[in-house]
Amino acid sequence: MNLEEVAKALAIDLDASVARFAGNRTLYARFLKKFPDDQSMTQLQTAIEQKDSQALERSAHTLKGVCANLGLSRLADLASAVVSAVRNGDADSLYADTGLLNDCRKEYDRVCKLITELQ
Amino acid sequence: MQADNRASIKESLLVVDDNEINRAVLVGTFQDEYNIIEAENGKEALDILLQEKNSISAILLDIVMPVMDGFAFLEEFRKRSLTGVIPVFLITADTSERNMYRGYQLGVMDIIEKPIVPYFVKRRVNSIIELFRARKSLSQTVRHQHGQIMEKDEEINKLNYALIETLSTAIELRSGESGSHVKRLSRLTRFLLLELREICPDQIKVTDEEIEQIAAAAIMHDVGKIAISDAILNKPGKLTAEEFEIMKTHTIKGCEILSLVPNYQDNVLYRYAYDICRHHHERWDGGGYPDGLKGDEITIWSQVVSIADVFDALTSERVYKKAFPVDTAVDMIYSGQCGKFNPFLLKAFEEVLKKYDYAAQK
Repeated sequence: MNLEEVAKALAIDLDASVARFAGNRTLYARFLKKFPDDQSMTQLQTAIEQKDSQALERSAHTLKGVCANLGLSRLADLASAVVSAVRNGDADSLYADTGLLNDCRKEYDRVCKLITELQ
Repeated sequence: MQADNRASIKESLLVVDDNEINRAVLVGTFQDEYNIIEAENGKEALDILLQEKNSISAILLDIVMPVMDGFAFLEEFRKRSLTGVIPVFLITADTSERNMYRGYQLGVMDIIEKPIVPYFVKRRVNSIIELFRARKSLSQTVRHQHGQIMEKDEEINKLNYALIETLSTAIELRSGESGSHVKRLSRLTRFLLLELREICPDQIKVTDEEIEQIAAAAIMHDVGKIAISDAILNKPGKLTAEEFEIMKTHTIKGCEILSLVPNYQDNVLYRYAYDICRHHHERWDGGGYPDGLKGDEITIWSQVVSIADVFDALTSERVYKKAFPVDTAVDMIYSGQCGKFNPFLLKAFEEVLKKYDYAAQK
């Protein structure tokens, strides 16, 4: 897949995102390819397993920022929803009903898969 | 020329974010205009900052970071009085009201939401940097000009002092004195005031600056003698009662001369000089002239100048007398042969004579 195809599949606003990397498509693509190595999703998983709401808020927040910069807006929105839920004191219900977290993980996996297909 | 040089040297931006991708976005946005220094957390940023304080134009700061987060960094930044010196921008995905309040309260200049739009961020960051640059250059200019004014002021003061001393010495020479009487008088006045302030700090409240002003004003105490004829001024023997009455008018004549100097009334020295000219022959018991003031009616500076004047006249040779030894002069002052003085002043006088070898200064 080329960059346009990946962007379309992931609903990335390509122009705005490339603009954030000095208008350089190659540079943007390089950082997009680095995303699967980013540790914030792993940290988020660990935080859920350990029911550490502080770590959960922090990792979801970081994930949100990185996704936003790369133009991964769907995943950024899901991460943002996690942050809000924790802030509203709903961490416990997050651990019980894992709907939001599942969506988050599913979108993350989809993003990573498409990125690895990027030529 | 200088402005051109400055423009060619890139200023630095400090980018603080633990995430490489986030840093890359900011680096990409600003690398054409600035030299970018990267830090992964607040602690690293602080270390860099302390080394390169002068070359960093702005800090772009993330909030959530390991080791030291953005808010902890801002606290440290404030403790080191850097708030308002280097502008800080929060770059955050979390623009909740609570965070924004906290950021602004800690002194950040602007809060920029992730994902950033490079064009807007550049505009916002650059305009604040420009503001800080202008403010800095303005305050440097003001400091520079202030220094120049102080230098000029100092020069004028020195010139003033030299003119006053020249004039006073000329008058002194005319009455056959050595020409250094005014200098010694000024020194003794300074020492006496310092001593008085030490002995009775509750009554004598003069600052160091005021003491210097009084010592300078003391030089003019006999300026009125210019209006006294040579025949009286240089008469070798004792003056007749009539001649003495004329001689006494040098106090009032001195004040008249001072009041005729244009704009002099506005000078800080004027107030002291006028008072000293008029009252340096008054005595503690009211036995002096021209106004017969008594005790505290006489200002402390006029009292000080009068005892200094008497002492220096006694220990110097004049047309009408030989120089007395210091001990004799002191005895004459204590026994009241030269009129009564304030007991506190006599005490200070005694201390000053002990501290400074007055005879050796002649």
